[in-house]
Amino acid sequence: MRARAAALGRPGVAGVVGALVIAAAVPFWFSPYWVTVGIDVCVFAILGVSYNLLLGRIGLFSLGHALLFGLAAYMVANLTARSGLSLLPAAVVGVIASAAVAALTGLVASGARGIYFAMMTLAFAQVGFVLAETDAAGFSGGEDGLPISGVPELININVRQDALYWLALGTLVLVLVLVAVIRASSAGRLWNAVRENDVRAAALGIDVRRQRVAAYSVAGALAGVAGVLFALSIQTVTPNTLSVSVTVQALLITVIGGTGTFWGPVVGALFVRTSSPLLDELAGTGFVQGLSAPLERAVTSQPLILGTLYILFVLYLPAGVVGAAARVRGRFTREPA
Amino acid sequence: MDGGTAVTLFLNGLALGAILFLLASGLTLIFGLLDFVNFAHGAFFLVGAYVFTAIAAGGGSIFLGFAVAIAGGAAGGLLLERVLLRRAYGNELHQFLLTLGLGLIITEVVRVIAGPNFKSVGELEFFGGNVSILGGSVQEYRLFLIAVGVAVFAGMLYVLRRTRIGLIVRAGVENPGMVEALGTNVKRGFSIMFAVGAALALLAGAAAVPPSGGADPSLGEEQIVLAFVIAVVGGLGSYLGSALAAVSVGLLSSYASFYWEPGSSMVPVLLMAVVLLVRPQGLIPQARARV
Repeated sequence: MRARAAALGRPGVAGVVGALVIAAAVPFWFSPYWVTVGIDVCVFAILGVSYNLLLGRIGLFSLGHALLFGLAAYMVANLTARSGLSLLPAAVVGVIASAAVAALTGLVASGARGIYFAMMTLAFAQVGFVLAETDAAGFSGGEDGLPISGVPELININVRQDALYWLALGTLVLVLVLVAVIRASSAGRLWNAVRENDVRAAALGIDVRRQRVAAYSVAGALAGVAGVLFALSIQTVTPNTLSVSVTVQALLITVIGGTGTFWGPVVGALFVRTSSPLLDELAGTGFVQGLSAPLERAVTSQPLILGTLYILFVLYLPAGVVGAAARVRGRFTREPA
Repeated sequence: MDGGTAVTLFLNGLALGAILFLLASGLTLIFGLLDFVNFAHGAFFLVGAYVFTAIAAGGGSIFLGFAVAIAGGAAGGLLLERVLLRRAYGNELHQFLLTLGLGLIITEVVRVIAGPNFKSVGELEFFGGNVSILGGSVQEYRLFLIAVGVAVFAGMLYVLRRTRIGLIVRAGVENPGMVEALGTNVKRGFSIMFAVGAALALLAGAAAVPPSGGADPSLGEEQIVLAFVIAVVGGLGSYLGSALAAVSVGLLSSYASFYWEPGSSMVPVLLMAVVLLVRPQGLIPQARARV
């Protein structure tokens, strides 16, 4: 904890501890439904942290993050349900598989820049998606998906939700600590240099490609961790975990929270992943039900509201929520580049 | 497989290639010339499909459907470029986010207006029959699609290489500051190219309706990935490449699905994976193709 607070510096130890205590107390205050929403927020916060490591740290724009997320989820389902492996080793194998695939695909794609990197990673992810959907490799159970098995009762979401929530929250904290360590390490500084100017970084003797593959592998492992937790929370892994929509969620969480900021993905995940249940809640209120049908549809439609928000963010808040808040307070949570 | 079946599959593959070309060429033109990543391209396709379905199901001629799709796409593309998308030139991430948000909004509006379910276009009077060629049998409409694909390909190539607007846009891509300094309005050229790309997307959506029998709100999301796949296989931004890639994917899908049902959905991504590993710059790289 001390290393983390030192690395963070700004938000204040008291604020962080306070937020953590409140987050940990969620199962005592809210219904099981909202606890499952909380699990979802933690899972996607981890995915966002992973994506932010790429986009915000080393400046890689990927459209293939779903591959690293879904692969670990499928590995867990496959190994527990078909090979009879117990959960923990299956999870470890899943995370390693995601990191390994990230290293391999990163090796191929890291020569490409900007949108070309995005297109190549999208290509690899789509191969995974189609393989899973058609069950061509006999690995995925096709469109029906693959149920996970051998989940201990304690973290079985159908039995109780609080333990899985704490597991997800604890994992998120560990992942944030890891990222804080990376930020403060020499690797983190090298990645900043690559993001700001890869030509100059190369001229200074940094092996740009190697650093990109390293960052992509770490991001792959973290996306795998999110994928394993996601598999636990939905119990049946479907091809959707490999679809572009997962990558888009990671991207939006990162951008809305604030690209390159430490807390951005957490804020972004809280915002993006609670919007749908909150809009459902809103649709049930008397105020909204009193509106005319098209208007009711308009104020409760997630695509309409999120789509409008993305546009407004790009136009007016490109630094995201955390970036804008930092500027308002006149203190920068993001170290000067 | 006998000769007649081979001919049938070949023509069906070419017709599919024509639709894919219309779809991918708009994306490729906008990317190749304006360096703009349009993730709303699939939503444009969707609008084209619904416009066509509404007109054809209401008893209008299919040519009216095509004309309205093209005109609507051009007008909509022009308007969007002017008020919104122009602000994101030079920033790929912003382009992606803006057009992603736009795509979500357009798709949702279509879903609200037309409903969440498949909308059938009904029986079409024109080109409904079959033609026998070399022992094979193919729908008249598919032959018409092939003709449209060839016509659009040749027409766009002519515009880009032989007309003033093509010259301005090509020069504007090389050096916008210099072209402006010489007194030519580059921005207007870019707006027009954007309108052309959007019109092609709606045309592709309209053209794809008769073979599938109607339109579905999820079309846009399916098509945008396919469009990017073809653009990557051909070489991002390469107009000639997108044509070659679209025809290759069309033909391979057609033959593959004869032997193996899921083959048609595997072909595009497998081809893309092979191309990326062996020839990551695409079949015809933009630098070589010049257009």
